[in-house]
Amino acid sequence: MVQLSIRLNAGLRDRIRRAARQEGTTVQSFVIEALDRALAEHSDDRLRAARRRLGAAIESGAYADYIASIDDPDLRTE
Amino acid sequence: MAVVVDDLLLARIVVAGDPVEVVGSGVVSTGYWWYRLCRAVLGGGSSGSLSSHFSGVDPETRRLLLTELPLDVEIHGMQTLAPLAAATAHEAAASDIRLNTLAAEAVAAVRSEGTALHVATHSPALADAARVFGFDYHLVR
Repeated sequence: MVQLSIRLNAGLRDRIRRAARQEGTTVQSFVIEALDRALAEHSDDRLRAARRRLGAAIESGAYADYIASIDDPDLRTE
Repeated sequence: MAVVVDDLLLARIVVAGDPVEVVGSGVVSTGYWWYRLCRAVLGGGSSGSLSSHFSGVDPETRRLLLTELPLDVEIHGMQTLAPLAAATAHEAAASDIRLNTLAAEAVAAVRSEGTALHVATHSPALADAARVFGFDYHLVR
């Protein structure tokens, strides 16, 4: 384990304490789980955005153009 | 039964997250088609128009996009298909059909699976091979 020090306003700290208490857990466990969830959501958001871009490339014909532009004789569609 | 798909259909499956939505079944694709899709997403050798679609998507996310394939997608490559691909290219040549490495691997995958080939990019060579080797060739629009 490593220590991460960040400065919070007092209101947020109090809300974290209350939420952790309601969950029946410690502030440390609550914060670690919240950070884990936030990172997973961030990764999911980026992945969804990348999927949308690939979808746009297909719809626009850019992917088909890419295939048509391949000149490697072993890789091109003949 | 899983069908064999080309890289454009594979790309549609990556976007949809489910091969059933795209071709109605699980799918197999080949190492060469998978490589073309990876090259398109990761940027190596891709056309300017395609690159512009991925500008702003960091390399880690691009790799993640490629490593999170749906469960019903399998990639079969030359490690297992090479003997059949080589034999297929040889047999096709006897019918005056020239199959490059990508096409020979694709036909080998179809023959190995005993299934149909679904492509979104028409390939005259693969259509000819379908007639010679007796498998279904579907052009999906």
